Amino acid sequence: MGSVMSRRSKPLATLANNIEEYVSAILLFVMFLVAFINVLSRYLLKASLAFIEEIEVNFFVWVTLLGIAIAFKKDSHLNMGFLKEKTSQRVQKSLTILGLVLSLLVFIVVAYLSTILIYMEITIYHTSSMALDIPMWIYYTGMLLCLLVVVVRILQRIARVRSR
Amino acid sequence: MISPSSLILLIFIVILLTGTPIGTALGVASIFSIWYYNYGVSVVAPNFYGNIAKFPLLAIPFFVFAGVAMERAGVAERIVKFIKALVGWLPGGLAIATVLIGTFWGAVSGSGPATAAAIGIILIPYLIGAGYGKAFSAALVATVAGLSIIIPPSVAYIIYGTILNVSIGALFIAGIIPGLILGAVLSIVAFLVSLKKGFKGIKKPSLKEVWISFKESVLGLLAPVIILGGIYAGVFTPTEAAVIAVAYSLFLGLVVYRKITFKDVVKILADSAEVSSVVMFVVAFAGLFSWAEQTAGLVEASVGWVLGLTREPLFVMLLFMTVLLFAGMFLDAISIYYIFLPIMLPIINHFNWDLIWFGVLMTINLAIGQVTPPVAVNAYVTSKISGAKLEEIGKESIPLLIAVFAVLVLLILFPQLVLWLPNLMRRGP
Repeated sequence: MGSVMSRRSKPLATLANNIEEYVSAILLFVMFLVAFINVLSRYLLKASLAFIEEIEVNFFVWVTLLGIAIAFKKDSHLNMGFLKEKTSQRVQKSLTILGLVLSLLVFIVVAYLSTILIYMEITIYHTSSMALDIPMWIYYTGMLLCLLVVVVRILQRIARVRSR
Repeated sequence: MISPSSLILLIFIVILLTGTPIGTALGVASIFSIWYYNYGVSVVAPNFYGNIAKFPLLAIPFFVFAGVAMERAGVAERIVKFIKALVGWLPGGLAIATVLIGTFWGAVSGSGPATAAAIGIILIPYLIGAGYGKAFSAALVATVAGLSIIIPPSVAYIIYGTILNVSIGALFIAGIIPGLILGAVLSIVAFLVSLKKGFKGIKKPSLKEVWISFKESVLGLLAPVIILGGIYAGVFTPTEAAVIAVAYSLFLGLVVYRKITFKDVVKILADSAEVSSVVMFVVAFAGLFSWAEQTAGLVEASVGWVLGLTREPLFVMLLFMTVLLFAGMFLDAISIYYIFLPIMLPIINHFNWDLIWFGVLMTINLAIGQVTPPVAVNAYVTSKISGAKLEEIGKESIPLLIAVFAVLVLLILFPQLVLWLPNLMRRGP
C-alpha cells in the first residue's frame, strides 16, 4: 500500500511509477469538489447543473481504469485463488502468468475496439455528449489513454512475476 | 452441440478456476463469444464505457472515499473505545462489542472486506489477547463485516438498484431494520457462545470513563445519522449523501481530530480509486457478460427451466435462495447480481414480488457467502489479520451464520419487516 510516497531519491522514476495514483487522486478530488458544488447549488440556487453529472461520469470512467491499473500493479484484483493455492509454486507461477496474459489480451482488445470506435466517431457517427455537446471521441480518447496505462502495468507485472 | 449460453458460462468458470482476476474471466468469456457467435464486436467498447459511465454508480467511489477517510481520521478507534467501555464488561463483552461496532461500521462503509479490514485490524488483536481464540475472533469479525452490505450505505444495493433501475435510496432505507435485527441476533449469539466457552468480560469502567469515550466518539457516531437521515427525509439522493459523507469525514480528519494531513489525503484518494476500481473492473465486464448471455438466450432458457420445475412461489423462493447461497460461496457478489438478476427478474415479476424486498433477501444470501469457504472475501481478510485458517474460520462461523439464516427466513415470511420503512418514506414523512 505504501508506494505513493516512496522512493524519493528519483523523482522522475517515482512519477512514472505512480503516475496513475497522482492522476486518479486529482480526478477523484475534482469529482468530489464538483459533486459537492452541485449539492450546494441544488439547495442554494434550486438548480442542479446537468453538465456536472457529465463531467463526473466521464472522470469516473478514467479513474476506474487508472484504479484498475493500480490494482494490477499491486495484485489486489478479486480472484478465486482457492484451487491455485493448492498447486505447487511452479504451477502457481504459470497460472499467475496465464491470468495476466489473458488480462493483457482483454485490455488490448478493448483498446483496439475503442480505437476503431474513436475513428468511427470522428469520420462517420459524429455524436456529441448530452449536456456539454462535447464530441464523444474526446471522452473515448481519454478512455483509450487510460486503457493503455492498464496495458503497460499488466506488461510490467508479467515481467516482474517472470523474473521472480 | 453445446448451446451458446452454456459455452459462455463454461469458458467463464474454467478461467475463473485458474485464479485469474474475475473481471478478466468475465471479459474473455464475453468478448470471445461475441466474436465467435457474431453478436457484433463493435458493441464491446461502447458497452464497456456505458457500464461504468452510469450516474448512480458514482456513489461507489464516494462511499469508498468516505469510508477510507473515516478510518484514517481515527473514527473507528474512537468508536471501538466507546463501545468497549459500554458493553465490554459483560460476559463475552468484547464479542458483543465487536458485533455492535460492526453494525455501526456497516452504516459508514458499504463493503464487507473493507469493514473486515477497518475494524479487524483494531478488534482481532484485542479479541485474541482476551482469549477468544484466533478462529472465533476472525469468524466473528468476518460475519459482522457481512452486515456492511446489508446495512446502508452498501455497494451491493447500489449495484442491484443500477441493474434493475430500482430506487437505491429505498433499498438503503429497507436495509436498516433487517440490519438492526441481524445486529441484535448476532449479539445474542456472541453472548451465548461466550457463555458456553467461558469468555469473561473486561474490567468495568467508571461511568465517567464511559462518558468521556462517548464524547470523544460522538461526531463519528453522528455520521450514519447524517447519511441515512438525509436519505430518509428525502433531503439527499444516495450519491449526494455519499458526497456529504466525504465532506464530513474530511472535516473530522483534517479539522476536528487533526489526524490526517494534506499528504494523507492524496494517499486516501489513490487508495479509494483503487478499492472502487476493484469493484468497477468486475462491474464493467459483468455488464458485457450479462449482455452476451442475454443475446445468447440464457434468460428464456432458464426461466422456462425454473417454471417447468415448479410454479409454487414458496418453492421458487426456496430454489432462488439456495442457488444464491451456493453461488455466493463460490463467486463474488457483484458478478452474481449481473449474472443472476436478468434470469430471476422475469420470475420475480411473474410472482409480483417486491423488488426492494427481494434485493434485501438476495443481499443477505450474498453476505453469508462472503464468510463461507471456499471463496470468502471477508474471512480471507480476517484470516490474514488473525493467522487462522479459512476452514477453521468457516467452522467457527457456523452458529453465527445459522442465526443470519434464521433472520433471512423471518424476512421471507414477514416482508413488512423490510418494506415498512421504505413504504413510510415513499408516502412522505
